[in-house]
Amino acid sequence: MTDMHSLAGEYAVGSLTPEEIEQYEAHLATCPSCREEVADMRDIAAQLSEAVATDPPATLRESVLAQIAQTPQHPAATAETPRYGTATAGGAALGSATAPSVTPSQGSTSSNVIPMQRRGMAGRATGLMAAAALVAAVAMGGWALSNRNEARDATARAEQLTALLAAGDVRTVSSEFATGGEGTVVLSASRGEALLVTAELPELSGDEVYQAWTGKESMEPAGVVADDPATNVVELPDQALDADQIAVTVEPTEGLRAPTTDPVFLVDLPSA
Amino acid sequence: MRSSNSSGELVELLQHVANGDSAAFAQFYDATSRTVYGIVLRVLRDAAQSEEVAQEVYVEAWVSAPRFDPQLGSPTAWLNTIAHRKAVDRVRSSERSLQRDQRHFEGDVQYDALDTSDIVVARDENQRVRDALNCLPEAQRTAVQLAYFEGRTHREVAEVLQLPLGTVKTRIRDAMKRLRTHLEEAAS
Repeated sequence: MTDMHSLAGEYAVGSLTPEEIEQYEAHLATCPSCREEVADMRDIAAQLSEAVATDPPATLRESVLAQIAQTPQHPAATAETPRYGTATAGGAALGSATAPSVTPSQGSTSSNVIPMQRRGMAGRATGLMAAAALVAAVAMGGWALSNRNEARDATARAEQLTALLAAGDVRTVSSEFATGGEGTVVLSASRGEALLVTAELPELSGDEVYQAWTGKESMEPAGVVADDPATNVVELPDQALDADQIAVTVEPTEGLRAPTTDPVFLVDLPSA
Repeated sequence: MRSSNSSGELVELLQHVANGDSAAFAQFYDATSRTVYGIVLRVLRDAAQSEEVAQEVYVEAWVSAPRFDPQLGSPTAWLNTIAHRKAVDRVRSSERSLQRDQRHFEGDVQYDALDTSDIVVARDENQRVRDALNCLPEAQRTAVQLAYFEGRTHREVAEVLQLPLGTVKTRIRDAMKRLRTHLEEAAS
């Protein structure tokens, strides 16, 4: 049997077997001097890693930030939380952990209650899942582009979307297009931004365009979904922030003042 | 990233991250991503897999930041532990690992990581660590390289080097102590 007090170095470089790790962590729970030794050795290991520091691909940053925007955190440690372990408690608690931001309010004002929409699901939690996937799609669109400027634009849009999704008052609604493809509206009043992100819309013929509209008392034009790449971001005008609906129609030409066809995409916006 | 000052800054950032501050997390990422990606890439030796694993590392850091306790170690040590463990888990579960082992056990390929110049990129910021590694007796350096930079258990290290298990354990242990001495001296 190995002397438990001597294993800090091996523990820190990760060469112990799972069984040994388990025994050693049980020992750590009762041995303050070994805990200090482990902290030291982990610092040494971290410094060794600096020796192989390498620039990560730029895409990693965007995808990390997009994913954390929709991932709840563990609650802070409690007396019962195993704090040792290999730095974390593993993934088991992930599903049960709930961030305050995605917990619907049970209060009387019901402003946080997430209503079912006519089409698709709305609300922060479900919308964020879809929207975060779209951020990745927007970034992917960028990678696929050979044109450097367009690729940079796609990256910038992914960053913009990521930042927007992180806003405390972000609202999102996703729905499918009747034509195929899907769209997600992402709005934040505090940032004064509203985006329509579309993915996999079929190509239109001739001069036809996907025209976006904001709906309140009437439908107001709110921009056109650009051709190509397959994933697009439309910056909606300010009026979208207090609109009741966002719609998209297929129109024969750009520049119309009112829709001439039935919407192929229509979502009710959750109230701010 | 290794001075106590910046470690204090990282502790502060992590406290914001623990409260769900994604902007602070972006800063934390910027301060640490070269090291995280570097060690993951070093262990996995595959850029696509490394990007995936590095992403898992940061998501785990985000999720467990509320449980980070500065009394148990520095932020870099905490993050590096997550990164190294995830990379090692991946390499041990992948087929590549089997192939790699076969390669070594068959002895038909020269072991390719004995030269520290291979693992230590030529950057001034890393001179200190490089010096410390170079100060190790070669036998210890080899043991650390196999265990840490290649993610092998000490049993595997023993098999690759054809040494008794006890000898390998001692070498890793001694190497880490010696590294600590060198790095602490260099820091002071």
